[in-house]
Amino acid sequence: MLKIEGLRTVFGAAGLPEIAAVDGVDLTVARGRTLGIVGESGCGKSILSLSIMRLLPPPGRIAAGRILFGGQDLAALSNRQMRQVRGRRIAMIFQEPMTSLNPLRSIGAQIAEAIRTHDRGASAADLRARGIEALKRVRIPAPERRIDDYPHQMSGGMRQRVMIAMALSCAPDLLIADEPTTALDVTVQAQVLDLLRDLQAETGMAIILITHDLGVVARMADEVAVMYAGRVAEQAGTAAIFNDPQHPYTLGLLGSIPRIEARPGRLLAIEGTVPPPFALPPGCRFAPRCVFADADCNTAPPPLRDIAPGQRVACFRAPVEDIA
Amino acid sequence: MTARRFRLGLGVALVAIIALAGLLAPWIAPFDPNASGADVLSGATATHWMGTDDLGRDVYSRVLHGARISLLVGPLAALVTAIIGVPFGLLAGYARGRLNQFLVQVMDLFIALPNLVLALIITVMVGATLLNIVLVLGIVMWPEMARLVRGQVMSLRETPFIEAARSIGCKPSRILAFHIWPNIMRIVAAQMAIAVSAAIFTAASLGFLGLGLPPPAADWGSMVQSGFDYLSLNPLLSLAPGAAVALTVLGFYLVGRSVE
Amino acid sequence: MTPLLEAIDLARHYPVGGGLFSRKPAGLVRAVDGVSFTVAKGETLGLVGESGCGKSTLARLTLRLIDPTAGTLRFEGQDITRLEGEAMRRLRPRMQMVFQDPFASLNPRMTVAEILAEPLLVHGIGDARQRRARVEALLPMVGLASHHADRKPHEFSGGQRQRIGIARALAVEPSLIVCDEPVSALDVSIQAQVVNLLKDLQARLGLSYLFIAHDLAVVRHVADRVAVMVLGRIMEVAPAEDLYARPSHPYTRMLLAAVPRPDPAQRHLPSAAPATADLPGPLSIPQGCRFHPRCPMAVEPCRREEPGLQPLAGAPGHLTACWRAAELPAWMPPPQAPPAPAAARRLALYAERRDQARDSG
Repeated sequence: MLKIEGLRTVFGAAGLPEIAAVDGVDLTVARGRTLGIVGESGCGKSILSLSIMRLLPPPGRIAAGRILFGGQDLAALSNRQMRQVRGRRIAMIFQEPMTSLNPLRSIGAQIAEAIRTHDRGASAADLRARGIEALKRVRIPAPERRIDDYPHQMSGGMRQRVMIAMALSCAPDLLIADEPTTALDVTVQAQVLDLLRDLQAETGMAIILITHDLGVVARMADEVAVMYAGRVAEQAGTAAIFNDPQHPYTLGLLGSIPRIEARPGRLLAIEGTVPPPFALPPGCRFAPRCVFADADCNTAPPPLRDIAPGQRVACFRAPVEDIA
Repeated sequence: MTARRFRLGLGVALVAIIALAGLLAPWIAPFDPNASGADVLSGATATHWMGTDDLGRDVYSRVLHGARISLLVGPLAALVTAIIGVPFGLLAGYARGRLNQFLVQVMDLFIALPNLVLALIITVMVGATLLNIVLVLGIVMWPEMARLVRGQVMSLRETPFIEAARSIGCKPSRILAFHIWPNIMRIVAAQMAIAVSAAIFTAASLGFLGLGLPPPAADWGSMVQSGFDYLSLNPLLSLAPGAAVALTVLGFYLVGRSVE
Repeated sequence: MTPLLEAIDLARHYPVGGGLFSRKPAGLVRAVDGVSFTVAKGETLGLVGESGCGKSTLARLTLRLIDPTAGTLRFEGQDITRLEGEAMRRLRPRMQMVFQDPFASLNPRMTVAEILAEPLLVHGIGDARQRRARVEALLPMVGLASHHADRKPHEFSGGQRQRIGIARALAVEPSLIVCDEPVSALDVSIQAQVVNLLKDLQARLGLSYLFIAHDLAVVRHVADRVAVMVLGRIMEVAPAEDLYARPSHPYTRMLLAAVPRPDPAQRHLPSAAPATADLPGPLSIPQGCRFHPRCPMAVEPCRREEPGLQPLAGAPGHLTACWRAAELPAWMPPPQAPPAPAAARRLALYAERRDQARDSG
């Protein structure tokens, strides 16, 4: 359904060298499937999603590559054509629902506006009925009452549900969820994730789930792309990422998770920090932090290669047990 | 962004022109600003670019010299504003309880009184000398500064780094001086530029109402007022100092707003 | 032995609202509502609760950054509940805090050296040269380099800033550090770095931590004992091993079940999410047990009367505030497959390499 080929998104003010926040990324998502995109802040995962939506803040722009969606190349569409896609066929939800909702308008008014963008003829009574229906769908209790609430009267979890209701009001084919549960309490997070999964089963939409939490990925995703410094480090089915992780960065991420059932001990952690996009190492971008790196890793960037059926990794040293 | 830079550029240019005019007035002014001549109330001519006033003084020279007075009164008044307003605002923003209530009530009292009227009353009482006008303007304008500073302090006070400073055992005086003040300096500087423009405007208003510096000082406000009677003979008599006031006020205002 | 820190029935209530002409508040937010706990020397007490449970207020009460409405606070046996002015200021170096937001908790105008030297300066410790030497000693302790000293906070990543915050807390050699969600704002990989750092420092310096978190996973790796808070009260407290092995409050179980596990095999299990909606806020604490509106086990007595913390039979130090604690079914943690051999092997290799790297440099 969505196929990204060689996407390169750069930021560059006139006269300065361009900085590539996303640098040669290929991804696909199929109908009814969920692609998890995992990485630390600064890995380019949010810029990737904004590239798909064509909502890049200036001076960001797509410098190369194609974003094929339902037979169209989104990267080549005019702004006007893109508005037909955005919010109708692709919808997006963000980490902080409070900032995406207008604090001065009731929930009902904001849902009605979302519905009206694709159905201009709807009457006021019809809009209200459909708004209540939308809230019911995201399991907000007493929707007849809550529809007149203002965002500040709701909890974070309820607001995220409202955002989901608005995003789904036009039955999109693809939902991009950028850290949708990071700001929520764990019990609420579990509820919202369940809700997203059920709604996907109901509608058959594809989901791109952007998160830094592998626990969320394990619960939600069918495929996973691990991103590091603007590139895909490893890409595989969810089971393979957890059971047969190949890239040292994936290993580091897995080892960093505090496990509730494990005996407490030292967490694996990845030392150091993500290099800023204007000071990238010449070879493998993870090499300076990698415990397995050797001289070769610093000479040229490793290509993304097939290492097992359906699993690709960008590492010269994988599988690491073969290192003498 | 570009609009803001344009405003800043325009403001700086205006202020620079006025400042140069004031600084260089003794050398670039063609005539002594206070020297009367036989040529009374002439229109603009090649010798008198802006004509002469009712005593035959060269208007162009007087406008140039007026810049000196305005550039003295405005910044000095802004300084007095800051000297009273900043400490008051810092204290009112940080203190809690009764002290806070008292300070806020004092501030509100001053804010409630209209600036110009208050300035008029005090000026009438103390007399219009340069020092008095500076002090009066400062006394009239400080509550604005105090209110701004108080608001900034109150929002900063709740930030974690101020809480951190408290947790390591900083005294309130140190928190104000080392943690809060450096973070609001820029806004205070911007507000001072705006205070300069307000002070020049209020000083001109006082002058226009007959409470400017005593004659023969080239006070823009007084010049506008005295030119009023001869508008039909030489409109520049009022227009030129009026425009000078407007441009100076605009210049400082633009600088202040775009730095903010 | 006297505990390092002891809180007895600590409470903080905030009046809210009130009309324009009335001095009477409209309501009372009971942010912290009668909390007792102790922290022993060298111990980590984990304090877990969801947003609005009062854990951050409790952190600030503990450090006397805000004043308690009621209750007693003792530090090294001394009653500090009403300590004021200079006496309180002199105590500050003994108890420090690490904040949640690594971006907002450092003064943007100061250099790292100034930030780290300030606690020493404020308490008149050493001269300028000695303070600089202390800064130079603190930086490597938290994994920063000495060339970082003259930079300003905006030049650092979130994880590095949190290290600066930790170094600031360490500067005056405290015995207690209150960590208010120190890793919640960080990426998982950076969280692990900071958790490891805090544990290393504790082992080295004999620190005590009050470690506040919003979920039970991170706390598992740092805490010796864990307390779980709901709406301003502790509902269960126990030695860590015991709490995870047999959680004895329905809320603790709910929190445990909700942690997303990094195990795709569990995704098809029935949902761990609680079916009921959000808890009411601290402005309208329910009658009876404050957890009952969300509790799957609630019965009539739970709606009438509030349970107190009671010791659990056969488990020393394990207390729970639940009328039905004795009737709870045996705790069944979600079934877990052993880690896949390939993953386990590579993770072990990773750990081995990392330890080599650490030992050699």
